[in-house]
Amino acid sequence: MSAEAGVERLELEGATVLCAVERTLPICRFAVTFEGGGRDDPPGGAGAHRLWAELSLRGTETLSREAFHARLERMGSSVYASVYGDMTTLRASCLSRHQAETLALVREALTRPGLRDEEFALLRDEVADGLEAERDDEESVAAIWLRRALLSGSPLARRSHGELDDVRDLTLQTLREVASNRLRQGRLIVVAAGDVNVEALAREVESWSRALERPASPPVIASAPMPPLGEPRVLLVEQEEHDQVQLRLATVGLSGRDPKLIPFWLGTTAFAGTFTSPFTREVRDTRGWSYTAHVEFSRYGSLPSAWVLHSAPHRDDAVACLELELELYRGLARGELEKDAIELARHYLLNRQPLSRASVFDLVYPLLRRELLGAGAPSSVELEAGLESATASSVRGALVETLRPERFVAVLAGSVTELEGPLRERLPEATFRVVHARDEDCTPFPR
Amino acid sequence: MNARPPVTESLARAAEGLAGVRLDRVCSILAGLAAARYRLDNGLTVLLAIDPRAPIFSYHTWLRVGSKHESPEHTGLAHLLEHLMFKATHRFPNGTLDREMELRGAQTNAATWVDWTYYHQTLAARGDNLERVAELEADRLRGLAFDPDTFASELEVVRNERRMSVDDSALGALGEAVYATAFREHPYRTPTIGRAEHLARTSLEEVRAFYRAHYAPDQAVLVVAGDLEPRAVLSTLVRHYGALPPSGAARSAPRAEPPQTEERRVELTRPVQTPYLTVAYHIPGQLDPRTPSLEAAAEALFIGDNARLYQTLVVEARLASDVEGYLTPFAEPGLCEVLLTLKPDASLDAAVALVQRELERVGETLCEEELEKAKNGLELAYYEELRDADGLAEAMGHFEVTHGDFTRAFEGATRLRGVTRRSVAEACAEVFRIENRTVGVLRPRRGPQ
Repeated sequence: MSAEAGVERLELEGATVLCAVERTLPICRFAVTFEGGGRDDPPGGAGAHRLWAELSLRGTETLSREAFHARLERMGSSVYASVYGDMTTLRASCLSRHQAETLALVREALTRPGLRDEEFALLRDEVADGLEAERDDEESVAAIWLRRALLSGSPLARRSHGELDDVRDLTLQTLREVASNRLRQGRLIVVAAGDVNVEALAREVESWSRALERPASPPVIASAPMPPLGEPRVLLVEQEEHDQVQLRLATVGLSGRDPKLIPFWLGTTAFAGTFTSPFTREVRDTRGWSYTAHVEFSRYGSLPSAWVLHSAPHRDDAVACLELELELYRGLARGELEKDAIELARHYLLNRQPLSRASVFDLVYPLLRRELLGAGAPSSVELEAGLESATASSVRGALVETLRPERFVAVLAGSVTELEGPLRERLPEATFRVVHARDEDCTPFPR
Repeated sequence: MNARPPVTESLARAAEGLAGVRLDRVCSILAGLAAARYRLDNGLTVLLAIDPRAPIFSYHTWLRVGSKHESPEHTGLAHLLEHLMFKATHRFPNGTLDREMELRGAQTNAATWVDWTYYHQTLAARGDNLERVAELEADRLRGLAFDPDTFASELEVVRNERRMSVDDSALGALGEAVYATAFREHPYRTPTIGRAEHLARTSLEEVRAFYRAHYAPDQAVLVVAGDLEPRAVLSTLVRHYGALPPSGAARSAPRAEPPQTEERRVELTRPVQTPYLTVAYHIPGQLDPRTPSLEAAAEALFIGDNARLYQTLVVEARLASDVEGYLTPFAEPGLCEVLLTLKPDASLDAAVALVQRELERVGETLCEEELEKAKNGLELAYYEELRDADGLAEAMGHFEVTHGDFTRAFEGATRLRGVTRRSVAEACAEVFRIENRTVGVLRPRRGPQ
């Protein structure tokens, strides 16, 4: 993998450290990451990695939860856990004069977590309450059910964030097993940015590695494969008293290592990634149907990422809006994308490259993601070269090969039951399912 | 830090010999960074910050108009106008600004709140990017065309935005109700996005009149921050803005909110699973001398795992699953809001009583460790805000438009120096009184399932 300009790379025993140093402001950020995350939660244990990571910050073998946070907070520092499908991260921010003390607390959390029964019980309740409360938020409801509809039948349909039934049944023993696997086997990557003392950071990370008895080359983490997407699926998610429908039209895109990634990403941006792109213009500007009208696609996925069109029309416009979006999507899947739109997106993506380094802190997440992807993930230089060289034909080809006109999932969340009839008339080939927002069924489309 | 490093010199000399513009103030702001304020003859204020950290610049256009300047009988105009500002002008057809910015890779958007409206772009500092953004921004400041078809579709977009953020959002609805209850006179009581019934009857002519009154060089502050040469920036701005006529419009001060003399309550029901509770107290404006002491109290109450309200309500009493708290950064007196995500079976009265107890106690019992936490935490947050050119421009624009002095944006690391346990106690005793609070409750109304 080629190096990123201005980023120092250190290969240590059992860990990789990447540093983007900039000293104008006396602050630092750190992301301490283990490969493996929610996708590796045990069956029936969705949320286990999340709870382990959060519990590790609730006291250590030598410090109570209160003492740990008193030391941390007195410096104004913060450390919190975030778990994705493929990685588990502790993120720390501090004034640079507090780097050593802040990282010493991270060391305690990593190498000597308390994992106490009483803290586990309290955390489990808090997480369960949070998952309940998420169902009051329309966009969260749409995201939950989109994942279930798109990945129905796969372990990947469970969220890294946790599923309510699973979280309630989690035990501390399960978390201990997760911790043992992750700390000793998951690749450790540390990314630092800002006014960082690099030598001190390297010494600190080496001490973690020694304490965790990490092998020099940890085994590769295995993840569940993406399930294939077959016939069209329409999922109606009922929520009472909603005038607006959260509409998602989705399919499966590409992984961050796919050779077609750059032309596909360029085509995706041309279609719905800017204010003037055809999808946004048709749904939002021309018809005023939705405040939001854009595509979501991550180019950092270790597995093929979801490709999702977002909009939120009024219930009275929802059927027409879905029809329009399907027409546009099917056209795109047949390679119908104007050359002008591709050229605009090319300029947009190339000319915004300097903005991706507006601050060194912006580099933390992309550096982490590239490092996790490893060979095959384009560097920023390769990305620019790929954008320069992609032709309209290669862009359309990547879209045609990846998107299929009749392979999609549509999720409509809101007061939508009455929309089922009109939608069935318009989409006779689709499989329909109607659920309630609070259902816990992770397999709305059983195979 | 040197009193006058070279970058400060170049800012000081940037206006020399340029007609129609004068230097007003220049200062160092952070290590290696400096800023200056200039005035154009037509009343336009220009703030310029030299920031060589990345080869980019941010271009902000701040208007001294927000939702507090609207009639309470016709809300939402400032925000709707913000949407329309991306449409056709008399010179350029619809979509020109967005397309031009996208071709140049710009990150662009806009925002409206109670005290202000602003538009921002961040671009690579190269080629004719500055020239083009200045040309387009100057053009739309006075030359918006107001096409009726565009107006109609954009009004629908805004109505959909309101549905998403308020009408279909339980927490959005609760927030709107709390402000409408806590304020009876001051226009902070009205929602920036506008009331649904007002949006439904908004006419193109009303928005056009609002634009004519509030969008003009004497009503605006330009902020340019980035890796640019000061004199080149200033001469570009003078060329594009210098001939624009001022509106001369004077704004009357908003009606003051009379002191609240008894507790107020508002209750909503929605088809949600979880009950929510907001407890809000009137607080002084952002630059009031008491505000740093309240910020120190807020750090102790709301921030981190050891935050007093989290420990009391979530860990000990187990009445809530989450607690957040917030002080509004408003020009005039705003609110300290405490939002609780309650357990389904929690007693509302018990939760309110515990919030009140902790807020009353924090002033008298704040310890040295908590004061140190507040000072370090706010210093870190201050630097985080200034992490890039856009953050720098936003901080300068907010303080200049809201308080008339951009340099107040750079007091962050020092403004808590005068805060003592006594000053915190005095500020808290004044604010966290039962008669000064508004309680908003959102109760679940169960659906058929």
